[in-house]
Amino acid sequence: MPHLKVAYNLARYLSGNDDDAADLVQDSCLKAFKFYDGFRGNNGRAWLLTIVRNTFYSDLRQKKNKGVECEFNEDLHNVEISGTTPETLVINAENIKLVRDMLEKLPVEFREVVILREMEGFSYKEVADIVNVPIGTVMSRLARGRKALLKALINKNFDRD
Amino acid sequence: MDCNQTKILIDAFADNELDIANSIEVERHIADCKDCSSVYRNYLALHSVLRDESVYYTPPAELIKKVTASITSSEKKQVIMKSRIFSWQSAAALFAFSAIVLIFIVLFRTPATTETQLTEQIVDNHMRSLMPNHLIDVQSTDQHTVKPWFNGKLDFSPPVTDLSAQGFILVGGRLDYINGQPVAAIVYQRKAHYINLFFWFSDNKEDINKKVAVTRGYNVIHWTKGNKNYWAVSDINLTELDEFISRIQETQ
Repeated sequence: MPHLKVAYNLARYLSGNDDDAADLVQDSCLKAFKFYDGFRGNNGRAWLLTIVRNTFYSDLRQKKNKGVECEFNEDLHNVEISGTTPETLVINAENIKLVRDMLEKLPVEFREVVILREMEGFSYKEVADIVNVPIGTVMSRLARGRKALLKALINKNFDRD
Repeated sequence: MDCNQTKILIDAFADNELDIANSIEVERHIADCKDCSSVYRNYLALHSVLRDESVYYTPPAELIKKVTASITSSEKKQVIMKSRIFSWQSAAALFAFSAIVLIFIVLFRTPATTETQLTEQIVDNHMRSLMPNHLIDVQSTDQHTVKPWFNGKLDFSPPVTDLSAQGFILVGGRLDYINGQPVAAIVYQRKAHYINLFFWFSDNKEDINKKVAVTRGYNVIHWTKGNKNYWAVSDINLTELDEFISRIQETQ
């Protein structure tokens, strides 16, 4: 099964834990296999990730209907775009370890565009197609997601200093 | 380009999604502006952090096995489904095949049908010619007047014979239209009866000596010789029509 690794990475970041990610990947791969005959594009990776994402959100909606509470981090939703004087991010083993945590704490709509763009290297157009929003929205989410990540990482660095 | 403009475009610039003109502007500004170049370097740093292998989640081996297994089992199911679909396809193919066979049968019968249709047309044209002022375009008992009249009206010269000695008086000629082509109609009279002799050229596979048909009370006899088609139609009795045809054939 090609793209299983890619599907798992996104699923793991979306769902936030190993078990849900495994279920999500399994569901998505079966769906992808079932509907493969109907797939007319040439980007199988983008297509599979679209399925992973859609499956995640439809599961989330069902859970919400059952009354499962969904976290909403007010602070992260109000990320300030125009930052103060930027500090320089220094990469070291420490902050690489932190990146997973930071990324997972990012609101999901920022998280997914950062993963698709930074980790998978999709173009703005491809990300827009997968997430099903206009390119402008992709750009603003990406900018805010990056600023939030940078802020968090730089602050952590300073905390440790 | 100032810092505010650069801040708007810097994401797209870092992502290589900016057009060339703006890219050059942003690049120029970054080279001069310390703040913006710092932002840019942070983006590059973030990018390399996010691309680090340790940030990427890899699926457990167990999951890969599980997914592969579940797909294989559903693949088997699909194969069974497909074989069922195949039986539907073969039923459809059988239907299509029988339809084609049916078409071929119809086509095979076509010559006979066209001949019947042609007989009908001949009789129709004969009846129409008997309506007032429809019988003849050129009125003459002289074959040397009737025959040249067709010149320039048809791409062939029809045989026109004077048979008045045998009791078939040449009345004249007419242009007619049969089977999608202009034909010559030569009109003879036997007592009060008219005979239409239709003539045209076409590719015939073999000569037909004499073929008799009776339609709506009219006698129709046709024969072919080489690529010449002769159709005689009249309400005179068959013996007389046959005699007429024998006289015509003698002269050809």
